Amino acid sequence: MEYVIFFASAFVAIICALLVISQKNPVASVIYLIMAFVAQAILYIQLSALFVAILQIVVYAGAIMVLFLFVIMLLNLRRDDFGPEKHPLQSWLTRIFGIVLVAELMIMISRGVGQSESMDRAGAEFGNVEQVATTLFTKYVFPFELTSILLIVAIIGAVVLGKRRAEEEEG
Amino acid sequence: MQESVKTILENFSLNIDLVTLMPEIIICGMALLTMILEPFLKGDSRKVVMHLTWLSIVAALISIYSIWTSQPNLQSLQFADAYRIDSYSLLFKAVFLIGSLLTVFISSNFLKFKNVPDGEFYSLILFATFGMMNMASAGDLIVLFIGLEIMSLCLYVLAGILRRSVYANEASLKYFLMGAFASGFLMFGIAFIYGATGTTSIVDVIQSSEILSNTYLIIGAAMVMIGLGFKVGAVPFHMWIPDVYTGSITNVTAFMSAGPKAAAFAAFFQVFIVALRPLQSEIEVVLWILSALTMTLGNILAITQNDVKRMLAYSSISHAGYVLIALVAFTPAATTAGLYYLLCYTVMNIGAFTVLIMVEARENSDTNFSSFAGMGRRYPFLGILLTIFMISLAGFPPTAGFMGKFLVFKSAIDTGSTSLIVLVVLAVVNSLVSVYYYLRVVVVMFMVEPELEYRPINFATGIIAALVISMGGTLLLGIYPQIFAFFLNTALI
Amino acid sequence: MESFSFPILTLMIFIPIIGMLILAFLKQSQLQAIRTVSAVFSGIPLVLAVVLLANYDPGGGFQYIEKVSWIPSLNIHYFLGADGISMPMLVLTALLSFISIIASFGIVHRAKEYFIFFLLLQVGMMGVFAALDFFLFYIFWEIMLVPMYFLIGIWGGPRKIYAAIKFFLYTLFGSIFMLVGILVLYFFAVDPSTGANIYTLDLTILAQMAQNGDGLFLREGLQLMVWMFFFIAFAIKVPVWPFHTWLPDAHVEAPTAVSVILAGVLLKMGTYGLLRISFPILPYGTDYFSNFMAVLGVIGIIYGALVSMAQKDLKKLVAYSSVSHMGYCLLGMSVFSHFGKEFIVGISGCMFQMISHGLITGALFLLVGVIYDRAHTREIAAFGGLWTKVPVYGSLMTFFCMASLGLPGLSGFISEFLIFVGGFARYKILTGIAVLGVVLTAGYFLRMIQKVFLGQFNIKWSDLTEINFREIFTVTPLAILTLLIGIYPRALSYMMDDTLIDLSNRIIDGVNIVKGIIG
Repeated sequence: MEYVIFFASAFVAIICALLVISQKNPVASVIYLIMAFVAQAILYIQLSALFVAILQIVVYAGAIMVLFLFVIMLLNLRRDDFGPEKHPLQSWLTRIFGIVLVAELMIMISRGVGQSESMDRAGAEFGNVEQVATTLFTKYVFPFELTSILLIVAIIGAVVLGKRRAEEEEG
Repeated sequence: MQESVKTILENFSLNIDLVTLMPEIIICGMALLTMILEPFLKGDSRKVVMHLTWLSIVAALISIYSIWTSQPNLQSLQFADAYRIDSYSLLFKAVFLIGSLLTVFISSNFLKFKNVPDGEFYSLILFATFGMMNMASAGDLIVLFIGLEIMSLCLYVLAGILRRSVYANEASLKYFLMGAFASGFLMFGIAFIYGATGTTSIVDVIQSSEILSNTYLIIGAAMVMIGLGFKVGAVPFHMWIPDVYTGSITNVTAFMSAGPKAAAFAAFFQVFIVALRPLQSEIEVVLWILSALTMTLGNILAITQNDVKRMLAYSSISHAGYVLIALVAFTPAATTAGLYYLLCYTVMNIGAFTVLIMVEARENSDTNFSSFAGMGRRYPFLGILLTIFMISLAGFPPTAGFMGKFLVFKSAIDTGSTSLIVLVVLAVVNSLVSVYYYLRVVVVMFMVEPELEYRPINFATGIIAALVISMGGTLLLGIYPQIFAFFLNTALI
Repeated sequence: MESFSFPILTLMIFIPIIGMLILAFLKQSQLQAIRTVSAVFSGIPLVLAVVLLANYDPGGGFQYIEKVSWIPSLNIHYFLGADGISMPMLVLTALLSFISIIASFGIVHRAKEYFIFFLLLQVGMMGVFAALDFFLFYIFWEIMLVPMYFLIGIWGGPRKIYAAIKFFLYTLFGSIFMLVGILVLYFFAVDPSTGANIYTLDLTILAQMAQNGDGLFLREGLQLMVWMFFFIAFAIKVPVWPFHTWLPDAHVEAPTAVSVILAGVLLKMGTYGLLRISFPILPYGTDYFSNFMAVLGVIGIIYGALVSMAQKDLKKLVAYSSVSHMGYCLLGMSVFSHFGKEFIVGISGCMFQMISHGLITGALFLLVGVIYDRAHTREIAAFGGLWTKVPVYGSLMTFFCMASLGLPGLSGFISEFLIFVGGFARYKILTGIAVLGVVLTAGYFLRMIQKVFLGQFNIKWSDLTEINFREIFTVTPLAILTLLIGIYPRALSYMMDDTLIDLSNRIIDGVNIVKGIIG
């Protein structure tokens, strides 16, 4: 059963990932991406990284992708807005670097398989909510709180740059 | 399971000492307060925000002073070692605060002149200062990163605060894109360091007796160096500086060239001299090259500029190169010298920018060299002030710039290493070259006749205060450094 | 050795600053007040210098010492003092500054700033000659550059900005080498008794170490390198051939009074620096490079004289003659002490040359300025037969030309004679060539006198006016001193001899120690 779920979700993840880059319509791409994320989340659950899985769904598949979708729909892109055709050299370079990347991954995976016994299994509690929370609120409590300031600054920045001004409208 | 969490929390202590955190609390609190106050103020009462801002900065400086005097050998780790307050970081904070204070003084009138909304401006300045303080006191690489992000976000917005200007938009966007890229490098580097040592704590990194992977540590160090090198504007990561410095409104440029640069150096000192001490020999070589390139290229490009603002932007690149010498030297004395140099640079550079702002804040004026023609005759006093700032930037005795360079060079030669002596000779030749373009301003001011009657300059109270402080600092730091003895006796680690 | 006697040297150096402050509050239009204030505040140091001179004890080493800790964390002191080498230079500086201020009364354009810069220049110059801490010395050395730069750049001739920047960059180039040398000395300074590093820039202590052969002073290569650094710095100032190219430009473009200071005082700083710093602190380097100095000196003498001969411009002629005359200084000092510790003829000739060149060339520049103010040209060929028109001026000019070419009875003769006597003892051929320089000097000065004052009167100058009282007043003291030193050189040597003998002793001790170690 475990294997069935693993292979099924892995297969879905890969297929969806391929579809993300092969689609011409960005909206469809985003939807496939969401599916790929969900499939990955299942894999995380299988690795007993519950918290990561939930984050994956809530943050990535949920919030960020919806934001993406909004932006794409608001911009209302048509085909001719996608920009000029790429330079042939550019597309060749993409292919070459893609091949290099795949080769690199192959090498790393094959090495990893060979030395699998040297890698420790993550503990049973790894990645669960409790552990993340205790670390976050003990060791990393200061940076955690600091991010609130960071967010406030980001909001102020967005407001400053985005809002309309009475005096500017006159001028 | 429930039990274990409870025990963890019971055994855990944040170890907070509010007294030593006072400067941060004041600045952050006031940043929030000004933001809340701002919508309720109309018309002339908006000035309150400005006054509150500078008062809070002065209060933070006073609290730093009192912490300093009451606990001379302070060494405190707070928030589970995430925050480190010692005498060295306190001094760094003082440098940032002085930079921010001067910026606030020169901004009030200039913002009105440029018709820029001033409410958020001050809270952004305060937030940026808060971010810098976190960088200087970071005990953990994560804190350092978040501090840097707080500071950078404020700067991206400040760079584009003059929304009508195309140049400001360009500056803001360029800075944001490149800055985000650099932050990515920094984060990635921190992750590598974590991978190599199993910790993000700055203190633990050097203490981790067994480094899991030296390769990862080196990759991490290299990426952190790229990220921070971008922030200090070291060649070859300097591309953003000229456009951002020129495009931003001038008081923001003054701000950017002082505090944030010092903060990035604070991060540099923390990461490379404290955390990554085991990699000293590798780091030294890279920093040597970085330093040599930075000062030379910055100088050469500065020569060809026709705009004083842009010239100062390029010259700020070369000054970063001089401070990098202190990093290459890797000694406690060098860290002191670097800090002293940054203080000197802050006062003299903002001083120069103050005069620049006074020139720019006239009708139909810009920051070209020609705007200075005849200024020395019409306003001899102001001309002499700018001359002193310029010769100080050129590193001429008896001004702050000379004393800063003297200390940095001294600390470098003191190591006795030949490569450092070569670097010092290079720096010395570079300062000679820099005299040419700094003096050009003086030549134009005093020796070139203006085409028409020199248009009058407006002397505002804030500007005068900034001039007095920066001039006093430039002269005192140069002539009688002994009153800053506490500076000279404080070193990192 | 903190010393708290009455800080007369400090007073003498910094009094012009008070004058600057007062000037800052005067209006540009109050010309008379500006002139009076600057003359008074430049005159007080002169009075003080004369008082110091009168109380000077020739055998007493450094006097009027003031030593206050300045930057304790770097062991840097505010340390002033005067000995037989600096005392005459201080008096010369004070005198020439005062005279130059008087001679500048004709300046109307931006007069206030002019005098402010001039007083600042005086502060810097006096400071250089009185400083006994290397750091302080360096700071004064650099301070002086800034007002000089402005004085040439604002009140100069047509190519003033070019000349000012050239002067500034050349000198700065040299002083940057000096800075590196200073840092090296600082780190190798060693306490004689304990052998520990003491990090000092105290010139007296450094000299003591050199004599005892401590620390750095044992390292042959390092000593030579540092000596070269200092030599570049000082040689540019002297200026020694081939570093002289800034000098004609600066002189020609500078206003008259600034030329006087440039020739009379600034050039002397180079030779003073060699005598005060290179000689006692780096004796081995001095010995090693003495032939090199002599050769450069002789090249300077001949080259300067030949170029002077070709000049069509009066001021350029005097400027190049300075290159030639400063060459004598270098030749004189290069033969310091090869024939026993008491052999100081060469060095004392150099000192005499420094003083007399300051007096004579200063006066020559003043006189060139006098005619330029009236005729608005300095071209030698434009004049002719002026003697009948301006006899007083003509005789003064002739007097100083004669002094410059070494007429017996005037100070130029004494210095050149001493230098040749000293020189022949060591460099027979070189000195022979140098003597040729005297002939050339006579050649171009006599030719100039003949073309300007004798021959056919050019009627273009029929309304030329005679030199006025103020101008006579400025050159008279110089003429008197030239004559006094020429007739009674003991007046000067009495002051210097003990110091110079002491200097020779130090060099020989230092050289012997290093040579003894090298074997």
